[in-house]
Amino acid sequence: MPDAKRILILDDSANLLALTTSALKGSGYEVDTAGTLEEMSAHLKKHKPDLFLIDVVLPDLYGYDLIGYLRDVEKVNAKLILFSSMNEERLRQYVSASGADGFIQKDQGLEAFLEEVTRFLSQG
Amino acid sequence: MATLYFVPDQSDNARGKKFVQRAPRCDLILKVAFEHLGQLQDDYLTNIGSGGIFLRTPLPLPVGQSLQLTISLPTGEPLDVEGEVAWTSSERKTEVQGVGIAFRNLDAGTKARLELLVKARETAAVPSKQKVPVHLLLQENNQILREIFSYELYKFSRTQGWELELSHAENGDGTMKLLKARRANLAIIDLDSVPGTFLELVGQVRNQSGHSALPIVGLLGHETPMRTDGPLTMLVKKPVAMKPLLATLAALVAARPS
Repeated sequence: MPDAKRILILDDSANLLALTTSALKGSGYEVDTAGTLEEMSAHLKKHKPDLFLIDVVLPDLYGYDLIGYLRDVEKVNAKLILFSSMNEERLRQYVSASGADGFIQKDQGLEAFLEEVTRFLSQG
Repeated sequence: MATLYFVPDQSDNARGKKFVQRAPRCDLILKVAFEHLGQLQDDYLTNIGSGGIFLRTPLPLPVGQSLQLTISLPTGEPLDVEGEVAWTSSERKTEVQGVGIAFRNLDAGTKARLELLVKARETAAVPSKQKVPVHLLLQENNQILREIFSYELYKFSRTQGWELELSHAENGDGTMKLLKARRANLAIIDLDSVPGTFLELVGQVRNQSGHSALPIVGLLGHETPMRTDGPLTMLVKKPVAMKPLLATLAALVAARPS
């Protein structure tokens, strides 16, 4: 039986973390959540995620400004996906400028969210 | 091809202690092979000079352990050197896992090659322009944020032709000690690291450290009431957007008297 894909979510909203974790675990994924950068770093030391959902507006900085650091310093090979309720055009710009692998909008419903996650994980 | 990137400042400066001179180093990612407990390991160095390297590794290598290292140079040829673990990330309680390795028994030829490597990387970044020396002090008590800012600052410095020296402090005491020991051109202070007293700290910096005109960029949490008092050069509300912050720093560096 293949190992379940692991997803790491960085978001300072405890409610959102709970909601998405429940949905993702229900779909068979392993999930780690981080409400702070320290928690994120601690998770990255323990497990290599396959996909990393990064909230765009974090308390100290913007999620898109983490991309280079995650790739070059933390050596994260996972899909780095910006996760936000911002409009699509703005998210596309952030993805293009930051080198993230894509974005998922928060306000599209759980079914669409899970489909997007599956789509990114199935990409090479 | 080797890639340049930032390595966190693991020196005493990161602990707010006295500035310590050492052989010049450069940021570089190079593969390093070595044997540990009978097994061949492959990890990466992220910082190198003729005195040693920072080896990014999850292995619990103890201080004093001798290692025979094979470093893959940017030219592709291997460089065999003997080293000894001088410090570990766990003893310094840093978030980046790894060890500082001091080279041992370097012959003159190898030492010269390493010095040339560092010099080549320095001049390669800005081949035709004189570099602008910038000593930036970053006061940030959040280790991860410090790493992120430092990574972005070093990356940015190469595009600006800066010869960047970055000093770290975790708190006001560390900042004052660093500023009294060494001249800085610019300071970024996370004001949330000195809650309630940040104006006092900025006043101390201006009046007691010999840096009355130091450009100081303050970072402040969005929940904190905005203060527009005079001592700060600029106040940046969090979340911090890197691009505008870096543009601000470039403007401050460009505006300083020559």
